[in-house]
Amino acid sequence: MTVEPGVRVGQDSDASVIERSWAEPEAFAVLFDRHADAVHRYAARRLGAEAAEDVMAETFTTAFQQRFRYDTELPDARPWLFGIATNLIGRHRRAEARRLKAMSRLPEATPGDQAGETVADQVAARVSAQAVRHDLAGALAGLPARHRDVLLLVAWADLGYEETARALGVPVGTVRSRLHRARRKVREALGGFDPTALREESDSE
Amino acid sequence: MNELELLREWDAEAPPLSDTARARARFRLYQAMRDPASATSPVGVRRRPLLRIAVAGVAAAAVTTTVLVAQDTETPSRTQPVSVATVLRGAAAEERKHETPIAPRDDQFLYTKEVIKETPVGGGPSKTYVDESWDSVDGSKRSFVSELGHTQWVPPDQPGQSSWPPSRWSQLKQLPTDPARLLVALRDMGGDPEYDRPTQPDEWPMVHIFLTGLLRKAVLPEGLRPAAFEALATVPGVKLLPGRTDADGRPGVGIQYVGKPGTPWARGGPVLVFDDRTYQYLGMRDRRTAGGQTYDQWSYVAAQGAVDRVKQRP
Repeated sequence: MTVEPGVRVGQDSDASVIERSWAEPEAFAVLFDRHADAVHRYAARRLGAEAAEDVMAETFTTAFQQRFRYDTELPDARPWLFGIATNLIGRHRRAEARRLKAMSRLPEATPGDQAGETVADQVAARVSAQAVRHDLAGALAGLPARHRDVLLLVAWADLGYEETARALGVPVGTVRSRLHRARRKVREALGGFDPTALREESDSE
Repeated sequence: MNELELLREWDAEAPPLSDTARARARFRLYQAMRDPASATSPVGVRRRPLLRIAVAGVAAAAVTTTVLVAQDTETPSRTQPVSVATVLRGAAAEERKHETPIAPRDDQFLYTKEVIKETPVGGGPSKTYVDESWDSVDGSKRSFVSELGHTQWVPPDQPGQSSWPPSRWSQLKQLPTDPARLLVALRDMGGDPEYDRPTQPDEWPMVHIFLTGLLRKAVLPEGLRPAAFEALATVPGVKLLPGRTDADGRPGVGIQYVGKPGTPWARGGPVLVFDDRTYQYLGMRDRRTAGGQTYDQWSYVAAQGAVDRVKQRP
């Protein structure tokens, strides 16, 4: 899982780093070193490796260019960075949908693809886990983009409701209702609460 | 395990960030840092810092302060309300009346003579610097720049290199001299200006930076400085400071930008000082800190013009 940098406060906070970068642009590299992995991981889970590298790099250059707009009353810059990343991911909406649909359809690995997968119960476990992933991918593909953004900022960027609201620039009530609807759809796609239930088809369309 | 936990567990076939990808991304960030348009001051060449200003969220036109305006020397001063817009529009009119347009050739240099008087905050003797600089008109030649008495040769522009305010005359000539269009051109710099789109609240700080960066230039194409003054009059967050003086004690009125808390300009940027009767621009009050000492600065442009060679004066 993502290594959480933890929220730094005072002189060490993201806000202080950004404030320093107003006069010394190079100071902004500290923010990159703190959050590049998390932003990349979030983007890679949504778009795959290639686009993720681009989105991550652009997230930080965009953030750097907008550093004067940052409200330094907020010590943790993650919501800001993930908000920028989510915006950039929005430009790849079709690619994201294609990727999710592909993952919802295709078997994840062909036999012999990975070593050490010969034990029967491991195979069984993987089959059900794969089925769940296909369903998850299908469910995500079927979500409206703004619901998917909320769900994945919570699940993959590890933001709280308030932070997600800040990242997307929407009221926290909107985050709650979007999350509620997105979760319900995903739950339905997984066949209620039984994640091991195999389904013939995903309802990705 | 609920659906949210399942999602969290699922890596969605995302590979970790490779060292080469990290290095590439970091390099892109460094390139952005070196792009002077996005920096507070041009990197590489240490010029005097650009103005730093921001919004307070109050429309300039609504800010009205009562100041004493001397009508003439015979009658006593009388009180009348003056707004930021009145001062800046007056300054624009003065500028249009007095500006002598120049048309420098690409192979020439723009000469400027700037006088800066520094006084240590908390007491101490003042020091006055006379900075004479010669900037290549098209950026193709070495320029000679003086900053607080420190002189240096500045190499020609590298391909793709840009700075704000623009160092090349041709770039300045491209800027609109209509105040509203100038504002949008600065706001949307780097892309196509969207003249019909209203400016968003969070865009004003950058507009401020660009506008005052422009006003920092001693020499501008005809009509650009008046347009910049008028554009500034429409920017929210500008304050009027009555009772300011220039270095010789001439009475003036100040214009300052104060940002909201959490911005670099929360304590206020430099103060542009205008003659309080004619609104002619007189100079700038600023503050700088070096070696633990803070200095109040007063600076104004004493001479300018186009010349053929470095060290030649108009």
